[in-house]
Amino acid sequence: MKIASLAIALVSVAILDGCLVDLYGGDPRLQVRNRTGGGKVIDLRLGDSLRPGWVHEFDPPVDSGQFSEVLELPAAGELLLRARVTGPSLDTVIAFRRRVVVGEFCLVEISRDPDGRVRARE
Amino acid sequence: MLTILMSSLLATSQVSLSAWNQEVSEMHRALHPRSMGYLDVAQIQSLAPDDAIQHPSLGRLEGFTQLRRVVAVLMGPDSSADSRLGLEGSIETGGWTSDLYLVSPPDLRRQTYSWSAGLAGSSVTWGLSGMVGLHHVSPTWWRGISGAREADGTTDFWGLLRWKRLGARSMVDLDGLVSLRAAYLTDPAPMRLQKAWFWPQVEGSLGWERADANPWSSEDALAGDLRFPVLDDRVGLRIDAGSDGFHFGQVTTNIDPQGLVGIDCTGGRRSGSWFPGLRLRMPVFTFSVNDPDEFAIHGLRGALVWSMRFQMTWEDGQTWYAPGRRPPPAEVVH
Repeated sequence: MKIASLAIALVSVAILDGCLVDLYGGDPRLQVRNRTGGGKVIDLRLGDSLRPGWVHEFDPPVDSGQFSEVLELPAAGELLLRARVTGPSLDTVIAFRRRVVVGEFCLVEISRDPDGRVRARE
Repeated sequence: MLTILMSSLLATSQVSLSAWNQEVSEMHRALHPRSMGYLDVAQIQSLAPDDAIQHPSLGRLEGFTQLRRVVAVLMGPDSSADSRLGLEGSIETGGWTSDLYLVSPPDLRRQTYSWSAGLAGSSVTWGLSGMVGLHHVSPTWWRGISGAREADGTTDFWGLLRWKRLGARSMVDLDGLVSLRAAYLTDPAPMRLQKAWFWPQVEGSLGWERADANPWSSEDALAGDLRFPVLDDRVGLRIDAGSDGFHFGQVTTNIDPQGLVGIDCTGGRRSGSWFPGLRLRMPVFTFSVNDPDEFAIHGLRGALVWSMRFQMTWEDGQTWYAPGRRPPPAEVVH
């Protein structure tokens, strides 16, 4: 009887835990669109440039005019993101802040201004 | 950036101090010279994503805060003895996580541990009981994808005293006085009115809280609360306010005359916004959404707070009840 009660209690906790996790839709999702006109997006980083907390390397790199796969980010909020972009006469890391919400999708467009500067836009 | 980081550090310290200040208040209500022990097992969690947490490198994160706590006080086992000594111990864990959980936390989290140890004593003849102890908060760490130490640990000392219906409790740390309150506590002796047991549960406290231990605002404040019956044992009122403004009003309704089962409704005000609260009480077990004491500490930026709490005072081996309300001997709960 005690074993049955314990089992019911454990199952109840597991069900409640499952209900709680991802209650708001789970990790935020992000997709990169490359509009640099010739450059390739190599990777996306979260945190410091020298010691990023999270790195996703695109394999293959995202070509100009293409969309990346949809990434699940490990955190939500006002995030400090960095993307490495390479191409003919171009090898740079751009830093940008993007607000991503728990359980929601966010598209980031990486483009190049006429003056050659690479920027990230929503 | 520095301001945001400093406010984040202050928030860490404020949650720990405020939460323990609240627990000392609960123990003060729970213990009296005849009590044999006290147990509080609590799980408190913010239910709505909050973006008030600044990570050292990842940015301003959105997530959830929670606190899990076990507190126990055990007095000497001889309930017929006039004077007894006892021990207090507690463990708390909590912080911030990127997702809600019950069992195993998500990888990315800000983690704080704290513990306390204390010594208790009581004398039935003198109607006196008291307890002193220390409370230590370990350094706060970020764990997961980008770990970092965020804040140093802190230690504070606390004490509480009860003489018949009068009580006092206090906390101090290395920077001085954290909180000081004088209290009028319910007398454990029941009253009988004609043929019915009557429990005039009047209780109140008045005192001062330092800014980092004050859950209602970020300033030093004089504060007080009062609990009194308005309809025998069935309906009661609780009002809490301070020099920093009105905190909350609570209507407590009891289904049973012992006050063990009931529903409490709250209307409170924090950071300029009103919030509603609901608490379901069963014998020694409560389930709350926005319990005012918990909301004040964990409800950052208006996030919803829920809690499960198992809380009891023992009086002898077979008598137990929720803190602050002792059932009459004729209706003792076994």
